[in-house]
Amino acid sequence: MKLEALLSEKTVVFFDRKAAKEKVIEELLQILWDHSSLKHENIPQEVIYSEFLMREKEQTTGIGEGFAFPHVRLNDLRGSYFLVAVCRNGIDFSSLDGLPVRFIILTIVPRLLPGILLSFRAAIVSLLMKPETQESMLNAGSHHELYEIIRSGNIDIDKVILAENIMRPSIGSVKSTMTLYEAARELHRHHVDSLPVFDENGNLAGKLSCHDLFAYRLPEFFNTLHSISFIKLMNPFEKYFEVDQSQKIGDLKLKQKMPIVKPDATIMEIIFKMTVENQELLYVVQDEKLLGIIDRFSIIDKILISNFDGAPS
Amino acid sequence: MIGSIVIFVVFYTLLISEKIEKSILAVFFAFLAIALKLISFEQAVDAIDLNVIFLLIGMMTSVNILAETGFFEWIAISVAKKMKGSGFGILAMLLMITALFSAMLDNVTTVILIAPMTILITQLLELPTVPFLVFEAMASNIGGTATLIGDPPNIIIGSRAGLSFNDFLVHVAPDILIITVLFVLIAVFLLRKKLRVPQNIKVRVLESFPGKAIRDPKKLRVSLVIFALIFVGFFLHNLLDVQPGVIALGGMALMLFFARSESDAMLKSVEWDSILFFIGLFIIIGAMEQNGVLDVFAGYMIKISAGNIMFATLIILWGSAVFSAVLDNIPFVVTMVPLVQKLAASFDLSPVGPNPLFWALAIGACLGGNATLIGASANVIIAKIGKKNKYAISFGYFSKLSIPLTVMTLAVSTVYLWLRYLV
Repeated sequence: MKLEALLSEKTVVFFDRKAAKEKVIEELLQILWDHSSLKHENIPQEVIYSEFLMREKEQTTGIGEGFAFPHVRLNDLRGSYFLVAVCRNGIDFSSLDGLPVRFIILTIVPRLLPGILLSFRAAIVSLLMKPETQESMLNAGSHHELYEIIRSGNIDIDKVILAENIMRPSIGSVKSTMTLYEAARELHRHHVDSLPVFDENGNLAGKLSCHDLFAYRLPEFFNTLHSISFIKLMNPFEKYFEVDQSQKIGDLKLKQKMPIVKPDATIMEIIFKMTVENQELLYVVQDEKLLGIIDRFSIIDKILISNFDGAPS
Repeated sequence: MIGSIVIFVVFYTLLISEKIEKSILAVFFAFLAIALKLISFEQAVDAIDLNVIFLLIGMMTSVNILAETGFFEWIAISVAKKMKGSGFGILAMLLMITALFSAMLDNVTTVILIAPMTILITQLLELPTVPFLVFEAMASNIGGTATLIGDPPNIIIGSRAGLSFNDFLVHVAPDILIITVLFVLIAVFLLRKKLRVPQNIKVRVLESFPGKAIRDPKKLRVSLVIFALIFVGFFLHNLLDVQPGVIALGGMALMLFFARSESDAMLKSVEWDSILFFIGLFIIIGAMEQNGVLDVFAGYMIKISAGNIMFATLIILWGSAVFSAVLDNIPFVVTMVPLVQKLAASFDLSPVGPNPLFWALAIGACLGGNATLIGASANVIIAKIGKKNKYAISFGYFSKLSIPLTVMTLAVSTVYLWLRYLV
């Protein structure tokens, strides 16, 4: 099934007016109501609307980077309903990154079919991931044109969610020629626990974490002790951490197995690597080039919360 | 008979070349021996000395559970503190502890537990780490010689020649006690110029908190009680007519049950490659025994010793020492026990039970390992730990200390054996 099959020219709309988030949802719901068989589901529109508001109250669905995914799951719903709104003037959706929202993807699905929500969302994301698609949608002249852009994207809706659908861009990196001191500064600057390491050719060479920096400085025998709490005076422990200015990242043998997945890795494979192999962070890599990263937070955010939210507590 | 000799020679040559993991070699050649019908399956199964295997597995598991409680860190740091940071006291105590633990545990296990703490303490006190490590490796081989369970050669000799735990205590331990005292004195004397620690540095261990090393006091108490029970079992095993291996298994079961470690993790602490090596080795030597190869060798030995038991004892002591200094003493001892038994028979001595020939074999094989860096597993392990922590121990440096000291230990043993059994 193609993405456009879940939409119609009537449910891909512009919404240019500035309005409060609640008002926007109300009006978009009205459009969906008018142009789909949602009205034949025997569920009052107000009930659906209040579900939307409750969901937003729990946590905003403005996930950042100009996207919002307001959604509800309803018992006793037979169909699934989708609407894509392009907001050329931006909407304040109290997004996580505080930026105005330009694409609102409104979804109403049966509680028992959470998969369709994820697939639809993944399909939309893979369509809009390309900046040029976003650009052409923002510059489209009519609803018809919007719909055509979606159709020509030729996105499969029922394919499984893959790494490339949920990865996010990697922030920061280090080069293997950097000294350990510079690397430590980079980790500090980005306030992250680890950064990808690139070689001279820009290929991914490994992962450098704070753990590597500590482990490099600490003598081997520490690994075989069961505790070190019985020593109180630090001297000569400071000696272990005297940073050797000339030591390069490349000299360090990065012991950890590089956590790599291919862009077409399935969500199961990703969760397997994170859980069974205990990787906190996965690099999405093709031909030694880093395409993006997936951390546990992305999974929690995009899969688990989406799956569980609105479930009876 | 030719087949067994060929298999043994090829096996041994490959073993010496160190190109292939020794456990793999042993298992493969054991397979060959059975597949080529040099030994029947039933005979092969009989040849595997389960008493040895059980003892190794039981002790490896039990000591690892005890180690998890932080007991060994506690001992080492307590010693450093009790000695008030004195380099002389600490060296002497660490060596004695190493010897004592090695007598009660496997040597390799002992040095794995003691070496990291030694590095830590010598770093704290700015003492020379390398000689400490070298002396500790030697102390562990010396201490291990004292008891039935202290060193694998003793386990094998004890099991095959029907020697009890107490037999070793009565016949070998006195010799080792004398050697240990001399050894510690000489070690401290040799290092005397480097053992002074300034007062401001001593503070680093004076202000340590040994108690904090113990991670789980309750588990520590339970494991120590079980360890005590295991040793009571060892003292009484002859009386109870229960093999030491069975006692170790019982101890392991109690440890796993009461010290409540994840048994999965604990079973991983068994060095399965050593166990496989032993199993393969028993089968290969078993094949030689079945095919009369050992009878031929024994014939030569009887001829050489020319009916003189004193000469035979000293040949075994020094010969085993030289052999163990350069080669693995475990396959050597497995081969030698049946030979020595046949030799004993030629002197109208019983092939089971205490006799000076077995003591010479045990003392020679265990102490001989001290002569070179590769002579004993404990030396190899100490060198590995040292190297990983940037304290490389060179073959030359080790030999410079170890050869004279080993000759000293063997000389003392010669006098001991001579005075006790041969005059």
